[in-house]
Amino acid sequence: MKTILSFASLFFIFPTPSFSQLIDNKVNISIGLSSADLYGKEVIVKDKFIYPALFPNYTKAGGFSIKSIYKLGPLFSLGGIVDNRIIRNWQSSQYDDFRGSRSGIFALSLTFRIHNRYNNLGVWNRLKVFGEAGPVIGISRLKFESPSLQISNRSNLISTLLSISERLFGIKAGTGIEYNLNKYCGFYFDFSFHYYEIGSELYLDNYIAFSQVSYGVVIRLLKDKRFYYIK
Amino acid sequence: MIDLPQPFLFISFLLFQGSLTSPPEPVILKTDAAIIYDICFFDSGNSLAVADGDRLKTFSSESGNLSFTLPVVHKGQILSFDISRDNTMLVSGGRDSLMVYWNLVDRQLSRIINPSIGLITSIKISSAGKLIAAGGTARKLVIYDFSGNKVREYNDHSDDITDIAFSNDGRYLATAGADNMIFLYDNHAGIRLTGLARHTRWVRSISFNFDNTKLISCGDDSKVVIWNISDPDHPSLHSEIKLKADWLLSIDYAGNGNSFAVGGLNGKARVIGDVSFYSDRVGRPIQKIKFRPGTGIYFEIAVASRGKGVILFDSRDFKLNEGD
Repeated sequence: MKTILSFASLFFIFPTPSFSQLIDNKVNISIGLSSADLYGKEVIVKDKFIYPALFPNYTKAGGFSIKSIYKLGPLFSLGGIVDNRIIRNWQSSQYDDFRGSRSGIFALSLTFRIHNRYNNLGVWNRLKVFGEAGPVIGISRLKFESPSLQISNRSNLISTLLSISERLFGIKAGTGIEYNLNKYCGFYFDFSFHYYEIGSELYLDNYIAFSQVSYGVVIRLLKDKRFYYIK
Repeated sequence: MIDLPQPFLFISFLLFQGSLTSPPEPVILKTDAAIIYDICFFDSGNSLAVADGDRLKTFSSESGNLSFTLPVVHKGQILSFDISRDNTMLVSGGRDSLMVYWNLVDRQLSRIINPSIGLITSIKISSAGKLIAAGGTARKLVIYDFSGNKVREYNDHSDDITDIAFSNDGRYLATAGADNMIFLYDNHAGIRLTGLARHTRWVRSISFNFDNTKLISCGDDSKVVIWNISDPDHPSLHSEIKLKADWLLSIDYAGNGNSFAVGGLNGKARVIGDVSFYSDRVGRPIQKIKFRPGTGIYFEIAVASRGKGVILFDSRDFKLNEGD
């Protein structure tokens, strides 16, 4: 991470004299890695009983993210994001209920982005600072390392449960930067907060909250053909 | 294929090999704006006019020194302008959607017209026909006379008009568009002759050759297409050159031959003849490329760039790519 940031800082400190001016893009695709920190209390109190929380007790979360962003106007863009994260290493000082489990969160989101105006010259020819927000839908899939629960159904057959999937929905909001190296590619870095509502019979968590850092490459696909009209 | 005069080739070759003199440094004009959208030589080739932001400036083609600046009238970037062949008149258009007539004798504004064609992306003066043609983002081509009266209007393009060219005798007019089309018009008859479909993406620039038998075009599909228009009623494909992936933004036929200059987003200026081509790297996307008139067997070109202003190149600045 430090290496990436050091490398990135070179481009901000020495902005662009050796490069041609870039034409603004209509469509960009970003592909990158993400790392997340989950928030919440270790335990959940319900009806005077105390239960271990599931998601806040995971200590490692990461995955990948693919974004496609279409520029609507000088200041606004609209896009879609596919996120896939693996959450693992459940730890609690008092409980072992979910130890060894891992969760996957697959999410689709529509994102509305506001960004600085593209400039024909200078650092704003290459650098884009943005804020974005949007709704999220997805699936959380909880997997146990070994069968930890047994469920009896109406015919008294015993089945073991290894995984369970739940739907989730929520919002995300964040901010970030894109830096275009040339007319074909660049890189990005963003920071976002996510809040998803979820419900399950296996755990009492009714939300997932986390912050996420994402970084990767931007592939510039469609240039703005009317570039010479831009003020 | 196109013929390049043999003396031109021979002398250029000697110069490129460095056997006579070392190449001179290209002249960079002192413009306020780093991105220049249009340039135009006066007919003698001694001066070059530049659309420097919202104002028009003229420079000496020899020294690169500023000659004079016209008063500011446009409220925004000038995107296109042209100078009459007798050097007495200039017309300009741009983002403010206005056509401005200038009297170059007393260097004063003579007329402002709003042709209602959106942003004016191309404006040209016919040498013989005393006509001014303008095209813009509203997909309309309008033709005015020198007194400011509208003569005709055409609505053939289905997307932005990107460039206009008059034939050297003024009889024919061609337009290029973002709809991948080129349309050819007969100014005497006042009719559209034909539409030329060969490009697969935006056509960015067109130019007639010196004897009006060929029309050349280039565009975002990286193609240079040469049309045979000896019979303008039935134009045919003469040849097609596919260059390396690049938007080709500007093309210009040499005034006395069939060689042409072309430049695009990758910042490479090329002068292409029949058996050889010459290239030089500008280092910035090329918005316009023009041959300087009256240079005889040598060639000099002016390049309007995105980021480096206007640069004047001598043939000796170019690298010869023989037989490529």
